[in-house]
Amino acid sequence: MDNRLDSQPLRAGGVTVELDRSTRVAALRYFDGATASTLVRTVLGEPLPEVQRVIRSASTAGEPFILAWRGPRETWILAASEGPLERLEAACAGKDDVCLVVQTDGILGIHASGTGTPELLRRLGSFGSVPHRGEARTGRFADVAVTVLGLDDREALLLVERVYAEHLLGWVRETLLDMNGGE
Amino acid sequence: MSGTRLGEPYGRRIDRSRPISFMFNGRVLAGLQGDTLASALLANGVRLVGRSFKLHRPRGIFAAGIEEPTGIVDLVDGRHRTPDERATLVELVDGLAAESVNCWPSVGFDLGAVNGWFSPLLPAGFYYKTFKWPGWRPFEPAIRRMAGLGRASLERGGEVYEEISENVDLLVAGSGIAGLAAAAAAAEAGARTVLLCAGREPGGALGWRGDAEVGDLLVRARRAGVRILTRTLAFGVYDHNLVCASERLAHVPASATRRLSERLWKFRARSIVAAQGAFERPMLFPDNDRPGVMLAGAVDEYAHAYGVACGRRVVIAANCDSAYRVAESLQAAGIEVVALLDRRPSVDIGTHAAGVRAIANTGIGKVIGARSVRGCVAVPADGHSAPRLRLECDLILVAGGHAPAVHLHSQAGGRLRWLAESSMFVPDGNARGLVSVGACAGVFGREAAAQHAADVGRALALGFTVPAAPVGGASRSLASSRIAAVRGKQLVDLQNDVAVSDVELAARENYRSVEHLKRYTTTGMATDQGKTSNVNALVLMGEFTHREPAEVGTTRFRPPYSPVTFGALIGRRVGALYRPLKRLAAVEWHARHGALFEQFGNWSRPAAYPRSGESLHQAAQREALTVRRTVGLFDGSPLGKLEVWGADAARFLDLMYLGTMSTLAPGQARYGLLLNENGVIVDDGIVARVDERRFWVNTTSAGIERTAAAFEEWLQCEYTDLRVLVTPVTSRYGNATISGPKAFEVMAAAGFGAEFSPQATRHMTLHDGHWRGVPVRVLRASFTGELSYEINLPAGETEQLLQALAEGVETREGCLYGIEALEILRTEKGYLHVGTDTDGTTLPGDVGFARGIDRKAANFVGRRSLLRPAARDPQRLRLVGLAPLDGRTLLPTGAQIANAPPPTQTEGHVTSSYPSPSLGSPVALAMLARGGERLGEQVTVHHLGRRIEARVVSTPFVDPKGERLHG
Repeated sequence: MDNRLDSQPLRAGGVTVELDRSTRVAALRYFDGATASTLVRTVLGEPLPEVQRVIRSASTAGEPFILAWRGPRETWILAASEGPLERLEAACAGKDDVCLVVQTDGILGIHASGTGTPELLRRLGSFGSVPHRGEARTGRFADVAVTVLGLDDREALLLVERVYAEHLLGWVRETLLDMNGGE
Repeated sequence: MSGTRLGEPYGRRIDRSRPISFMFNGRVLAGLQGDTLASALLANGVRLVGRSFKLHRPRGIFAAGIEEPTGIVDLVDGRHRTPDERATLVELVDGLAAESVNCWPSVGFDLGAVNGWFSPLLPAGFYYKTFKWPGWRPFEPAIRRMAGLGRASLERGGEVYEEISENVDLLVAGSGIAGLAAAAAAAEAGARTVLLCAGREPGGALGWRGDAEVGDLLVRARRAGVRILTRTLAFGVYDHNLVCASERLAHVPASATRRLSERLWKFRARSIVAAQGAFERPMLFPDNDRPGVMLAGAVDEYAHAYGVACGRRVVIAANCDSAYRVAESLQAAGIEVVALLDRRPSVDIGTHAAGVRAIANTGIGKVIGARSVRGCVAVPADGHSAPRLRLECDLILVAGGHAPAVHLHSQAGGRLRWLAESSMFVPDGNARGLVSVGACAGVFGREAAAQHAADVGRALALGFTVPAAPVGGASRSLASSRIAAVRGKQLVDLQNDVAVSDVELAARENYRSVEHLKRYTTTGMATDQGKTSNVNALVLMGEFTHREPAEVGTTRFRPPYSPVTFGALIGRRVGALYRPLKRLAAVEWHARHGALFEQFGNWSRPAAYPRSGESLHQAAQREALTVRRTVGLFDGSPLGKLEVWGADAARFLDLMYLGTMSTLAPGQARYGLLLNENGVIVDDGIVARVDERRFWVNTTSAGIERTAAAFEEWLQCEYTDLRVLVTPVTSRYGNATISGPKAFEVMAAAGFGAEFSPQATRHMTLHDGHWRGVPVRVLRASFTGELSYEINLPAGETEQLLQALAEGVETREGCLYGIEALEILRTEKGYLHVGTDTDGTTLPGDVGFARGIDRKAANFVGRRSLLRPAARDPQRLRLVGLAPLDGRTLLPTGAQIANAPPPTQTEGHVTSSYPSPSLGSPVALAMLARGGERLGEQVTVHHLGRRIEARVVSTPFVDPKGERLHG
């Protein structure tokens, strides 16, 4: 794995930030949302999320997963194990209008939790990019594109391209220093 | 002028129970909590604060706010300096130390003041006229030492800056009565409203007077949910209602290791309300820049807000009615108003001040005192007739009328009109997305301003039509306050030492455009941006060119409205965060193996792996030669990667690339040039077919974003009927490229099976498989000209693969190689590098792909442009090889090819050039006019006065038959 990203959790200003390395990520791409939604419901028991929404659920086998809206033709699937992704990939095989592109290792998750989470997100990017609970928003954080999932009122998952993860973490580190009594 | 504190109720902003100690020019002084540096200096009787920009004239505090042109200081803390701070904006803190600017050895005895003796020789634009021979350079250092303001620090302090963005319904810039009224009304109507207050507390000019209505509005605004940001100044309006503002958070002592000091706000507002008030206009008379000449409104503010009496005996030079109110206000505070000299005829004067001796049709003909005011001489407005009246005073106030702060309106594209009666420019209607209210809209009546602003706020919140501004309420004032017949330097721009005579000179020299006037005289430049000088300069320009101010017009106001620190603009983009650099998954592994990292196309990647004592150049030469002789290992992870999927993917890629991709069978790969609609090459890469619907597209490392964006744009805007999905996967995959005659030996040693042997896996084919249980995608393609395998695998496994391959490389006397060696290798082969060998004019035919255009039957992006005669002009530049005639001299990249030394018509230029370790002589690629027809021809390469003879040769330089590719 990428050693320089193996840092300890960052704690300051009422927020804890750590790299989430267990998450598997895939992009479900489709032309027709309804068809794809049916397929996902069949496999995972949940439909595709509405615009800018996140669904947290678990498969019948008890595997937790997240469905996050990314765009009109794209939903991200995040899971702690390969199972949900493999089943979706198998279901997509041979289909004309839906495919699965595995992004594990390419998209990294940075988990932020604590009372300071909204403040951190606001100072990393913008007010408009801070998701409410159950929202998925893509915006510019630390000068790079980040998709932020509002997992709870005080908990968010920042999804960023691996190549920019260190930059984002560096920016987070600096911001936390200022949240920690810098003003 | 002897400054002292006034008793209660004066001094609303200060806390008399909290004394503060500070230093000015090494002297320890006392101030109070709530003071600005300016108010504290005035309270201590400090008159001489600094020296002027050009002539080193003595200068004091002139204003009380953002418009301050002369009270400029450097804040000093140890070895750290913050230059050019306006003393009027610096909040006093314990231990603060300030120094005067532009003086040596001291502000009191400044050798630079000798410039004043030569001022007749230093008119506007003197440096353009005087220092022509032998050139500007010899004079520049001395002039720069003599002129200017503060000195920037070379030490980094503890300041940290950040940037925050926000979307709002309504942004109100300015927190006076109009701004508060607009914000309160908008928020009460449901708009998400942010109010920016440049000072410590909202309220504007009425705030420091303790106005009750302002207090009520503030309560209403807060109750309605208006977010009020204090110490936050909107300094720029940009496209699409973007407003930038800087928020000052704290003064940072250099001893502090870290302190957030400033924040840049980027507001995207549905609507903007400008409510930044108006500036008082100075009066023109000789020596009107002496310490002790101040804006009347500022002196009133120092009295009410800070309890500071700037003087005890005051003469007021007036051109408007507000001077009378100030006169009464100061009299009430116990400050004697010796006389009010009104430049206007009696008929224009609309008020009076009880107990004040007011004289109409009169101005100041002379100021008595050099470093402070000791008196003045009053003269009739015509300057000629008697009597002349000598007045003893320690302070001269100027009240020349008002200039609305139209900056944001102008930045937003708004037009201005001249209001002759009050001699001011006001907004001519509203700018797009921005509405001005209050004094900056030309609405000076208090009731009218508050009502109009509230109506505007409500209308913007509800989407109604915005009411027109009821412009008016300002008194009559003359456009020109100059007294023509008096002698002496009358300063128009106090900060830049621009005098009336400079404007007159510019007119005599036939400068007519206001833009030219500004640049020639430098009026309106530097830290105050002409807030107190612009209108006077424009009026004078009109006077000297026999035009009305409306005909002269104004310059277009540009951001920033007020100086912004570089730190605030940069924010966190310092050091490692300077810009988002893409980072290799195996970066630590490369570092352990001695990589020298450099930035290439937003990536930080190994340029080479120098051994002890080796330079980058020597390392690259060694690495390139090693690849040719044995084998080399390269991290190709930055190569752009896209998955293109869908029933129409093949057809789509035919449209996007010069090169037919639809005929590829699964597992086959083909080189392609990506063109824009003009036929210009924008990227290249390899397209491989994974299965019937799925393609694997490699782009250049720097070209992935533009390629992905081009694909999406064509799919979304033009080829909307195609069922294709494009997914970038660059980050997902790492790439280890093994290249050289022993490439497969290394792979086999690392555990790759015989199915990857050169015999089983042909050049330009793609194979999916597994290595140690990890899925790999192996592409047989080469950018070195050697047998090569590009092995793609999940990014997190890259290090493991590199390590396994490196062991095999080492035992075969191979090496790791970086991007520099790759450049040498591909140049030896004559391979095109898009962006290095091409530019924004290069067409496929220029780089040897003319046949591809003709042979491709299907349509593709750029095709039509390539069929134009100009695209087939035989005179076009063509990519060729160049070899120096002497076999030794490296042809500099960028050097021009021409028959004669420059300046002349060039025939082309060198695009890539390296010493070839394989050949023992330099090789180069060049774009040359009619290049393809000139093989064997001798050409001359010119570079910085050198001539190098070279011969046009065919490429590749190495392995012309391409046999090495196949192992």
